[in-house]
Amino acid sequence: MATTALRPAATYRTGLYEWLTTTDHKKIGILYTFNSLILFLVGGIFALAVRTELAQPGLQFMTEATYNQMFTMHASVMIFWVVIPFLAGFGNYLVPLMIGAPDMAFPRINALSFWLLPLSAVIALMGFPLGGAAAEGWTSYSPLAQAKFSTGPGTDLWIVALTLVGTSSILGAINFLVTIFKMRAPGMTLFRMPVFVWTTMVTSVLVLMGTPVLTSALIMLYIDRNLGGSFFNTALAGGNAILWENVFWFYSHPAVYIMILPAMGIVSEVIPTFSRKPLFGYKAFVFATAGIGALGFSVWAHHMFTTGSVYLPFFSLMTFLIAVPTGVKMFNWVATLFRGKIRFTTAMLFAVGFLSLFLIGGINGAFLAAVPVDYQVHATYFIVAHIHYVLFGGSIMGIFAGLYYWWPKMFGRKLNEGLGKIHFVGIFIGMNLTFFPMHLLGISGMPRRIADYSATAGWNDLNLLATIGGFTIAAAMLPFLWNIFVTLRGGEPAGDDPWEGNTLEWATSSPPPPYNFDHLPPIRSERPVFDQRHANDAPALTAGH
Amino acid sequence: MGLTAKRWARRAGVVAALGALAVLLSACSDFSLRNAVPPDAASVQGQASRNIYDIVFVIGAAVFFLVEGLILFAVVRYRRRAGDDELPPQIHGNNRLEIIWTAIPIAIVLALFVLSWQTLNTVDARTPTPPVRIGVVAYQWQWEFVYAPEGVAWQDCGAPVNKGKCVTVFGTLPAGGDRSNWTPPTMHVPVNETVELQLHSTDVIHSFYVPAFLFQRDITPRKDQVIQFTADRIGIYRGQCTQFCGLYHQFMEFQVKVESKVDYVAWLQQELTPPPAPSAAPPSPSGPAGSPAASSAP
Repeated sequence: MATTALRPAATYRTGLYEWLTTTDHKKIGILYTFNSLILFLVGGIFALAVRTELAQPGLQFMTEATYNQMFTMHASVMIFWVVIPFLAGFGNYLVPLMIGAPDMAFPRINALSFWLLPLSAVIALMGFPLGGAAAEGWTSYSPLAQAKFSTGPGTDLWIVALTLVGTSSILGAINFLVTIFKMRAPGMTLFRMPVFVWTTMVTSVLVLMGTPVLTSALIMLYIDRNLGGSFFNTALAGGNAILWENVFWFYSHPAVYIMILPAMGIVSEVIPTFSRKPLFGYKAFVFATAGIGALGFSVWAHHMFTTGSVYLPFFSLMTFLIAVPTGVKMFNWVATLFRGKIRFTTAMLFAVGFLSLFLIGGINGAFLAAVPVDYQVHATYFIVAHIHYVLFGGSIMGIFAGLYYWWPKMFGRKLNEGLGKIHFVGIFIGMNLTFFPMHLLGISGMPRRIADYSATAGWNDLNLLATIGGFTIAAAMLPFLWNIFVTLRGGEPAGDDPWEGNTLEWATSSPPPPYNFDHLPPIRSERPVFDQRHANDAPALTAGH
Repeated sequence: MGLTAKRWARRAGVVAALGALAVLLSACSDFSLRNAVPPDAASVQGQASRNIYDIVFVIGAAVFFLVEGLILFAVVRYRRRAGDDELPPQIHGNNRLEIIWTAIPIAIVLALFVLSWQTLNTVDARTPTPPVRIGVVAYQWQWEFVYAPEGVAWQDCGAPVNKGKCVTVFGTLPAGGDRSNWTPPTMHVPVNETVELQLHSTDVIHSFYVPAFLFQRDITPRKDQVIQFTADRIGIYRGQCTQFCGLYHQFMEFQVKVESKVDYVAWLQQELTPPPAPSAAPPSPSGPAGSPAASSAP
């Protein structure tokens, strides 16, 4: 059925030099994946440091100075070097395959986008040996981030590193948009594109509109710190601390959608495949994605409700409204499950885990849209719970679903399903143990970003529970890493189309040849491979589109 | 294969849940179900916030149980049985359903928006003549509460002409970082009277947060804030800075003591009577020297 007549692996791995110089989108995608995975472990170690210190009242393991670096670098690494690049890596690997293109539009720029990431990660982490990494929180609010209050090289290194990440994102977004608009195969109309490609497209628009704002703001902050500027420095005339919050969140709120939309795209590929049904309401889903993208730029100031410098009704209304397209997606996913024939592969377990956990991240987000409730729980552990149900329960679950789903395509071998299920169960339980208690800590008033707390505040048990959960997540990563190790050394051969997939990447070999396709199946719907597989079935089965 | 894996996963889940529960119960020292809801409001505004919280919570819980229920039902009911290789019906969508599940959430969020906006107007309401005005100065990493007499702005308490007229409560950091013998600074306020806080920061952004008032407000340098509240329950309530403000952010705690008008006036009188009362300790060495409030020490 697929084009296995090609020689798939003969020239595929030609040593380190090839990996360092490649412009093949698939190899770059794999580089993104492994770079993100390594930094996921680094960011995870920072998170464990935070949870270990908070397990009991009293400072047992580190000073405030170390603690502040740990939570700052945990968030920075996870956001800028794990979730965003992980999803960009899936985009790199999948978008050309899914639209039937031989590569990205600008392969060398693509390589540059990737190589800026490990470089910038090293720069940001260099703060540790050079006297202390950034320690102002990933939000780096001014004037705390000014030279007077944040001495040492960590903050400047962080600024430089993030400027490079921003550049990488902008280049990547241009590359995705040109690829999607100019390089689709004949027959691949916009409304036949896989939903993952749609989400990557909308994400790229968000990146293109938002990231230059943050990157400029970072340069302004650098000028403030080192060259006597007064953009955000309230110690000088004209410096405005609220300005930083506005420009920072103008990017960093859409960044949440940058981090969730492609994960939604992954789940929207996995659920139909393993339900053996098309995605329910494909067009509604596309419009909902576009709606989130559009509304995403009108809600940034909900991070600033407590500043007293925001026109509250507007941002409150828009924040409530953005729940609607997300809800539409949720109902469409659930409707896709209905009357399906669901196979519980590990990828599907993570996708269903995404649904059940991201739902919580959506609901507790609605609490925060109500300004009086936000007055109560803003900057407490409730926020920490919320963002982790979105970014861990949503993005990371989606990423794991994608890894199990496309690993066979990337390497020609399946990840072990037994180990995968242990991984899923451990992650699901550990995730809830860690982050659910944080809701309760938040509403009982525990601020985030504190290195220690009073033993009499009533927070001891819940913090201990969250720490146990954190180590459960860490333990659950071990079977996953072992799984990667054994699979790369010789896992179960996958074949071209192990899951009975719907989209074009399953129409080529696993792994695909450098130019992706020898020939393409006809593209007459959003499921060309499904159509080809069932071309001779009774017409009643495939009709309807 | 799918079935055995499911059974296996379920068994592992039960074991892990029981284990977690056992650990939880054996270690339980200060958790109670009371933590599952916000604190009882100690202010009129806080009660209004609590009411809207409860409404959002009920709607959120309903949505949670509905959708999780649908997910659970679907994955149990529509799992693929062994040997079943038939394609299910290929349903591509249903416009009527899309309209329904777009319109109903819009109606819900609009209702929540209107309700929360009304509450916001209660919470943010101000009277031009509050009976009590207190200057609140936040700095790395403590608080000062300045009580100026009628007709004197708290910022002017340091002026020689106002010597002896103002009361200032200074916070200090706990010695050696040990909280056990440390009392955070206490702000005294009378019960059932509108209190106005004039919030000022001398260095970085801080945030004034009292969980029992269900309220916080950032204190941004150069953007002084004015907030009002009416405490309606006598007691001592915990407060803390919620905006990360640097190295010793964790120690920016304070207390609000809500007391009867008589007790409040007595306290103020006692503080005004020389020699200075013990609570008027010298400013913390980490406080910025020369800040307007720091120089107002009696």
